[in-house]
Amino acid sequence: MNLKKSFYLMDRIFLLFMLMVILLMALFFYVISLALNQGISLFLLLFTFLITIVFYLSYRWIYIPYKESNKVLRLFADGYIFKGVFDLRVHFNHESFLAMQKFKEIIDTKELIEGSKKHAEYLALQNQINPHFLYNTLEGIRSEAIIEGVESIANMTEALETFFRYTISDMDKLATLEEEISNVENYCTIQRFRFGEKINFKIECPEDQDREVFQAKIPKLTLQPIVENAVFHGIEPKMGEGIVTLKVLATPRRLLITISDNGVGMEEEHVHLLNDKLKGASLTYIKKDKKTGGIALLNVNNRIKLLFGDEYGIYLYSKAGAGTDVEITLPLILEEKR
Amino acid sequence: MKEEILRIANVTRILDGITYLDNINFNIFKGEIMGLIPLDNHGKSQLIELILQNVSIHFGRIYFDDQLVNYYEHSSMTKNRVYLIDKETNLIQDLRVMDNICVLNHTFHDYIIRDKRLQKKTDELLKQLGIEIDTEQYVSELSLIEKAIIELIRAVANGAQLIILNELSNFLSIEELSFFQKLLLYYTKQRISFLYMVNHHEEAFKICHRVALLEKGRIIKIIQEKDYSEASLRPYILSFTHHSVADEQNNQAGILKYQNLCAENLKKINFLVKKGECLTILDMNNRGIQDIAEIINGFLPPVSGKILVGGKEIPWAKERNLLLNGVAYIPENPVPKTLFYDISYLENLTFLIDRKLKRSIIGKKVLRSIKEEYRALAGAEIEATDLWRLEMKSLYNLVYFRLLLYKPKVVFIMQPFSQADMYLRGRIIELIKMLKEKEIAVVILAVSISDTLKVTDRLLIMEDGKLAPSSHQFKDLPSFVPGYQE
Repeated sequence: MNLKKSFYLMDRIFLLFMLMVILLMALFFYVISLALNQGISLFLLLFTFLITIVFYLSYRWIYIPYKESNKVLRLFADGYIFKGVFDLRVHFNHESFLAMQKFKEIIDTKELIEGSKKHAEYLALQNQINPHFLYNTLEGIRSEAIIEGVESIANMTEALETFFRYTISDMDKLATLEEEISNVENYCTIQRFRFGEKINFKIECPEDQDREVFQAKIPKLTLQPIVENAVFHGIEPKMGEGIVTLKVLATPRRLLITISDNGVGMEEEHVHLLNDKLKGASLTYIKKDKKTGGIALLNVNNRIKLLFGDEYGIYLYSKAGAGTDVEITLPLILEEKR
Repeated sequence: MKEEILRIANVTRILDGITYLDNINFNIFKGEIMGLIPLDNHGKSQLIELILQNVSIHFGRIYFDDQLVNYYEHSSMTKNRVYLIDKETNLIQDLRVMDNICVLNHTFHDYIIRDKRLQKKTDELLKQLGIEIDTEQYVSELSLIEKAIIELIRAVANGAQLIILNELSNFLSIEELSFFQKLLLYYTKQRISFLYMVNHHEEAFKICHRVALLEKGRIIKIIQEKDYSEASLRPYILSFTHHSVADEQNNQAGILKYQNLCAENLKKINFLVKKGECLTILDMNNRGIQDIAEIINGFLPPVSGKILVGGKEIPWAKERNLLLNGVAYIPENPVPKTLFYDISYLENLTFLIDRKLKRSIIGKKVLRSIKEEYRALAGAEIEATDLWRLEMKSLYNLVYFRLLLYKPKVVFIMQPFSQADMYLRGRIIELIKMLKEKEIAVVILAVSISDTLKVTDRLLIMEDGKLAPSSHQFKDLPSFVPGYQE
């Protein structure tokens, strides 16, 4: 980053503005004394009135929008917001407005989404296995298992194959909530071969909730990484039965999905740190060591924010020994609306 | 499909460098009673202010009725259609009920006030709810429950879509609260939403559809109705243990005795409290305990009956000097009422000691000795030259340490846990136990039971100014007492 070499333009404007205010005040006092001497109170009154209006307008039209725009830029620089910076209430001038729009157009969040998406694939696969080779091999194992009458191996292989097919193909598309849940169920089936009855998966939906909500579109691989997190970081280190619950709730505009586990939970400061990161969208986490944790959450959060805007994303509730709730907020996109 | 009336998303509010609300996230649906339990009171009043008015925030977004009303870039300072019901009423005391409901209303645009029309409208509103309050009565003549009901009706008549209820059980008795909650349920059917702020989860679990826990300005958990249980809350709350001393006291003589005491709202009150015992008088309809407090403070003469302290009758003429006879009183919310912020900690602590020692000038040696004795309890705070910088917990310590030092025979405490957050309530329990350990008898006057169970040895239930015939050991409380769970 270039270091500051001279006064910023706005600082220069501010300095000159203050100089003008001082001159104006001097002129004002001169006019007051002149008017008092010559007894022209009407002129004095009018002048005072105009000065008041000028100051008021300077405050409302210049000072407040300047402060607000500065705040937005600062929040952008700190990583709190991403898209909000393109939609300032008052732009500095027409050229800066055009420049911002161009900037928005160039970025169009494409590269960031790409980066994020690739990382999701990476997280899902964790290695460079050729997918078709994998499908064929799994299908082969399944056939052998059926012939030999070992149903459990056949079922497990089928679940694994379906899971990989869904995970690897068509990352660009939005999937329905139903497909996403089905993928999570597949994932849980595979995990149950390892953990047995220790892992249970439940879906909850209010009785008055329209079933149509399961056809709502959400980004692919939104739920599975979070369920995986719940299994590995919440339930695996815990003694006794683990339950992962997926709650779905829709409002006319939003889809709220909460994934809860009754696992070991997290320390307060870790939750606070993660929630702070989840407020904004950035790709800095990709460069960092994976061991810092929460990468899957950050990845899903980023994809949601980049696709739908800063007002959507993930929020975390957790306490050591009390399990974790991950609340995912998405826009409600139903087929007919598209 | 559920509709949201309020949505607070990632809101951070910083005032004078202090983060009061830290990345807060929660929503309230239309027709929902959302509970909010502030575990430490940090950020509670700032949250209320923020919901009432779109004041400046550091970050986040607030949506009211699906409209973005406040966000990080611009806060319009406009007010939302939200009403706050608190112990301090917002009604105009010197106006009649119907004026408060109909005239002080955004929808009232008449130039001439027509009493008959107003009365008819107000009567209709009250009739719908099955409430009998004289609408021509002045607000100042109403009881606390009547004021709360009128505020609720006024809020709805004013078009409020969300009503914040701040610690109702601090000023409503169990019966009153139960009636008021029925009204809330009636209004939820009309899609009015409520944010029910309460210190006790037992109360919240009874009425709320969901409950949020607020700690250090953060929402740390939202509990769904189906998950309501002590177990689900255990990781978040402090556990207060109780050690009964009642059995040890059975053979001790009573230190304070009320014999057939009658007053305006007291009907032949008889009770006895022993050394080191904690007795709770639970007033089901919030009438009698106020009279007991007024008699102790000498504002209300009893109509008949006797008060015996250590077997000696105290004539009412000396009631004002009950302290000299060993009876002390801690009012509700005692810090602003009993402490002097501009004098030192030690001066506050020794405020009553002149009466104990029966001399007006206290020697330096005595003061030094007290200072050293209480340094072990109060720590470095004992050196404080004023009380302005002390935390609420330290101020409560001071209120109770003063009585530990004075060592009266009996202490009456009015609603000790009122307005106290969870951590403070834990400390108050410890302080009451310290009084008991010093063999001071404690009488708690309460309208809600909750935390008093953690220290009380015996419970007396008062209904319509009469005490129920038998007392209850804390182990066998009647099932109707709210807040009591096995």
